[in-house]
Amino acid sequence: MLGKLLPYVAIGVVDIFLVSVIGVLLFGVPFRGSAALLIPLSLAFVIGSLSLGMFVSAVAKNQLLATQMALLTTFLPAFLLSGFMYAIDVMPRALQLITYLIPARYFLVVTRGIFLKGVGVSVLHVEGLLMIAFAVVGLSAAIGAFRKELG
Amino acid sequence: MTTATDARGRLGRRVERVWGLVAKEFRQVFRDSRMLRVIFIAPVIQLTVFGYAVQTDLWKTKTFVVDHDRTAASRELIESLTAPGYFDVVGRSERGTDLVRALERGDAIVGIEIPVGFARDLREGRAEVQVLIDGTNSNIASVAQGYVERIVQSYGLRASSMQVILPVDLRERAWFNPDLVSQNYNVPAVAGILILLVCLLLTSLAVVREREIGTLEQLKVSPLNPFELIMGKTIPFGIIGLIDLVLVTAVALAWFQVPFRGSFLLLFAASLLYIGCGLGLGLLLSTVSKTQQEAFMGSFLVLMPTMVLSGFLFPVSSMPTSFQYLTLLNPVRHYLEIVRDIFLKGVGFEPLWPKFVALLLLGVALLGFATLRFRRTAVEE
Repeated sequence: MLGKLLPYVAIGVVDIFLVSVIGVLLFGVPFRGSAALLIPLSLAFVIGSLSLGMFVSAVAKNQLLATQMALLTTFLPAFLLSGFMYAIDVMPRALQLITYLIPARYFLVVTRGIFLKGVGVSVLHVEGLLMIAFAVVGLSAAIGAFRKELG
Repeated sequence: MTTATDARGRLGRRVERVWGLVAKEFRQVFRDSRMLRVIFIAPVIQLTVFGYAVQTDLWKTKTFVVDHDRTAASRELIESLTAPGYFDVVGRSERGTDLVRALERGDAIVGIEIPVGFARDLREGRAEVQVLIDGTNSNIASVAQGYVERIVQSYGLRASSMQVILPVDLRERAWFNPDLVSQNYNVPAVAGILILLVCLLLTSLAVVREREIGTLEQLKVSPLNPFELIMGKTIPFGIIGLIDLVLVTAVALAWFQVPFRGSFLLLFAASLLYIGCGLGLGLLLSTVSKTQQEAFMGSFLVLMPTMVLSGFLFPVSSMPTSFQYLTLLNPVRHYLEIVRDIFLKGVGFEPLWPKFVALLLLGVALLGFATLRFRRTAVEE
């Protein structure tokens, strides 16, 4: 399980680094916070997202269904329910609760906080802890589903 | 005479062969109950959920108030901001630093600081109010800014003892969506995106799956030619797409009460062309991919730009010119414009025909490329 996860974690973090560099250099997005903080938080985000994928992969019976479920559960929700385009505050209460299942929701607060507001741990520890919790729960759910499949 | 019957016979056999494939695809889909849920239930649930998310209307924006003046006038100002429901006071303090912290932590999006002497200055017509807005989400920020400006200005006009004559009396009215309900604009668009998603889900793996499990070989030695094969894949998924269209349109109309002012026939025709584009795109992805995984990654890579460059999330008119041209190649852009016009404006075919032509051309091109591509791989192997 970990062996499957680690290479993808590395790829994810490298990707975040690349797009951050492009954002700053090409589009002139201000970067006011600390890069040292962005790295561990990115790590938590990537692990959380991957564990969601692993969970789907373990639950789905075949590859076709796994990919379809992955596409359905990640693509549009990440756009529409993360607070990226539409403010979460305005959504109905029930929907606000669903947004907690979207890892991008936390990470958006982190990137916007670090890039634009330049805030530090004192503000972002909430999202950081939530992402770590998400990763832990996601991973254990994935491992559980995986075990069931094996046994 | 004999050639005519021969031709009819050939056509008959051709229809028969395609029909065989259509029936096979249908059997495959309907055999799997999970697959059925993914295809028919998921879009309905998704639209129901996302329909609530896609609103850009300002409502109960979290506002932090620092009122140094603490007079009836300053309280009235705050009251006039919160009474219509656009702003919601989530915190108050005496110190400006608390306001900054609230904005930093994201506890508030708007901060209002009223200086000492506000009431006195107001009588003299030179009152000042500081408004700080969290600009990280520039969409929300600019909407909130507009509301604050208007409310504070009109409060100032009402409260000041001076008679102000406005040189221009502005009377605005929004056409087609008079209450400016953003859901009316966005729900049909989400429905369109969901249809594309289903089309890609169904087809992007359709050919490559057969390749991986080896049934493609059987199809190749069968008398089906590439055109018939693509038709056999397109027709069943097209029918499924149309069923989904009916389902999501029903959700938009019955559940979200989006007004529908145009013609259902026109919507159906546009959707037919659009689904053709979606299936063509999926089949093209499927024929160029060696493995299912490749096809899957391909659909992700395709979905992102088609969504971002469609005018769904960001208006096309605010993109750089070169990107605006690029969006002309995007079927989603044309379809969303048609759908929004039919739903909200109720326009007929006449102003929409260029978009119909664009969808038709894109659909023919995509399905044509998929057929060609399939023929080439068939020859290569």
